[in-house]
Amino acid sequence: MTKNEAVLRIALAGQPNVGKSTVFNMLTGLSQHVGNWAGKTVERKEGSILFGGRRIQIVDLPGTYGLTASSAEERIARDYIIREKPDVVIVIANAAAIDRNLYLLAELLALPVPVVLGLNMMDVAASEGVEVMPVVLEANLGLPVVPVTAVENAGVADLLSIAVAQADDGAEFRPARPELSVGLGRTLKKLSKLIETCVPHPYEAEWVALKLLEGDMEIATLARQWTRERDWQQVEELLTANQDAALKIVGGRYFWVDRMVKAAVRRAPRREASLTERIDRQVLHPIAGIIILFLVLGFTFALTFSVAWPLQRLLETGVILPLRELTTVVFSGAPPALSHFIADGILGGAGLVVTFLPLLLVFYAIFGFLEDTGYLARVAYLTDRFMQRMGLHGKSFLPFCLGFGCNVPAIMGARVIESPAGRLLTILLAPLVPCSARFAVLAFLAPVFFGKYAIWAALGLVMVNIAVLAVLGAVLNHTFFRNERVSFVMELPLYHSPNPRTIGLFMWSHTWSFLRRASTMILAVSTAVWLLAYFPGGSINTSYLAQLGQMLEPIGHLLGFDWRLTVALFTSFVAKENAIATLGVIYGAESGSLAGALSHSVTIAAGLSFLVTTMLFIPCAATVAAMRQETGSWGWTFFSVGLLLFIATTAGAISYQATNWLLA
Amino acid sequence: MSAIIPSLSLDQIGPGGRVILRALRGDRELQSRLMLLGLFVGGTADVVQTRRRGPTLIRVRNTLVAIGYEEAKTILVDVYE
Repeated sequence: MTKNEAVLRIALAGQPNVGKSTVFNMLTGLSQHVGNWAGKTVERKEGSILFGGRRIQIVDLPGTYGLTASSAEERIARDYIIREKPDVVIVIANAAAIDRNLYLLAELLALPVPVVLGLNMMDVAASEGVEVMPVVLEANLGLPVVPVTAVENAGVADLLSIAVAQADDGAEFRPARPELSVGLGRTLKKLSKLIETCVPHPYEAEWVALKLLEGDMEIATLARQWTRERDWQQVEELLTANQDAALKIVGGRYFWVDRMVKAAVRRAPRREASLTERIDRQVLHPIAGIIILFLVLGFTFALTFSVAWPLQRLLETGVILPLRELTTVVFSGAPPALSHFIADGILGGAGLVVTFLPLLLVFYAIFGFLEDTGYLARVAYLTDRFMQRMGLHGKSFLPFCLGFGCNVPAIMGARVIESPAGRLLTILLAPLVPCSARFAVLAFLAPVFFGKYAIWAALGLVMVNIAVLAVLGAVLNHTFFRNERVSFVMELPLYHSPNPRTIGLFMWSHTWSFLRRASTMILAVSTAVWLLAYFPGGSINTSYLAQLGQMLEPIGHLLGFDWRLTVALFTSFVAKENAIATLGVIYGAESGSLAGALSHSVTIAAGLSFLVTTMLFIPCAATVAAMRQETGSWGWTFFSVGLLLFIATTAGAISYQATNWLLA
Repeated sequence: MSAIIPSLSLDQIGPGGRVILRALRGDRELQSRLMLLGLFVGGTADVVQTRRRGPTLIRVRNTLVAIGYEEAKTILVDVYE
């Protein structure tokens, strides 16, 4: 194979908030493939394009501030570069934050791979009064520097062609590199000599020695396995004598960055506040900021419910319902079990879940927008003090917000939290956020049970959920997570105008993963529950599920449930709004209107207890599946299910007994 | 620059204060994350906003960084004059 036919591999690296994903989207468009890095819950994006007749594979590395081993993202990024050896790495930096963004470049230059620098957000920098001269920077760094404004697709093609050219003459790469002080340099030489013979391919002795001096735990463990016992003792002696090396190396890199950018950056004299400062004066104000936050959240819900809710109803009554009717007609000759299965099992279960798509789309559109402008990071900052009481920090507020739409994205959204303990706690608490499907149950049943007080009852029930979430968070924080402190260190990016393409792709990739799940896991569970609700007799009243409900009647009694309410609760496991469908089937078998039948045969106390339990009950199957996937542990998944089962039944029993006592 | 005032922790500095970082006392992971955000020993930072028992907002190397209350206590600084 000649060189031109081989696939050229480009890795895209950069710190967070530099617009790297916009560059990636511009480069690959819809040809990108989103998955996970092997064995990790970190998103892996790659795309394959044709450029100048050549096939080019572009891998988007996770956004990382550096290449230490302190986070999964950083390990992934450096392992990819070391082991997969891309032909060239494109580093994206935000021109307005270049004094910090180039730190990653300083680390990358210690690895044996050619690098090209893409200077993004030149427009944002200008609006912040920062002018960067790429030519000066290029002369200082000794590597290609390409100015780009990715949101306008300006310079992206140049960046690609220069990267390809750099890959083609990879040998001709002699950039300026950060150097160590004389003393530290000598120590590094000694160290690399000691380990030189035993460091295996593809690692390089000098880089391993540097990481040892930086105190990198992962490399230390590896090096210990590679090195002979006698040599390792000397290595440890050297490291003990240079314990402050990490501070010096990091400081040295920053001073190197300062030298590189000094002549290349001009900042306007700070006569007036920059755009970001002016916005933050309001948005981060202790009082105005909170008011703005509530307005934004209120607007989000208003838009979701006014635009998406009618669409959901339309899909349900206009598409799913006619399809179900059609099924009974088309399959009228087939065995009744088959037509029931398609109508109730598939369309009524998984099909109904799909109707929630408009809600997700609107929610993701707003979230993508807020994220892309830079506001979401401010939300985390504003809510941090409140969240700390639950052992969480401000970043967990964002997945919880997503949870009001659907719990599945809330659990997947917990990925934004770096610490495993904080992420786990967020995942455990997320199902307590009432999702739109539970709002649907509430909207239908509250008027039935509470008449004109329905709105207040509904509001109270939502508050109960949030209160339980807060209390459970505080309790878990002081028990299971007592020794786990979640540290909050977060960059607040500069504001910039949002890019429709970035938001569109954000919506698309999240919705797609939801649909994929609906077609597999949710379908499987809907089928299973349908089987239990249909067999052996072909009617839910005599089904296995009804038998189970009758068996559990003594427990149900504590909550004021007859077996029918218990069964309705069980079927809500497939999808929350199934509770209504099930009640419709069971009560419908006896009398005409469901609302009439319910208000006739279910007391206020039992109705309240049913709603309290439904709101707090174990999340739907899709959410449980997401929990298993994101925690990677059945143990924690079952823990959560058991805990919520306990909380829901206890709260239901308390509300039933208390209401009876009050009304007596 | 004043080396006479003993080191304070970052949470004790009011808005408008410019500090020089003297030591990071958190665990290794926290130290590493702070350094990667530009908070290294010898570097400077400006305190932008503080909240009682809440996070501190600082400007470091021309970017805004929010630091939780507990984390700010691990950062020892001198006030730069």
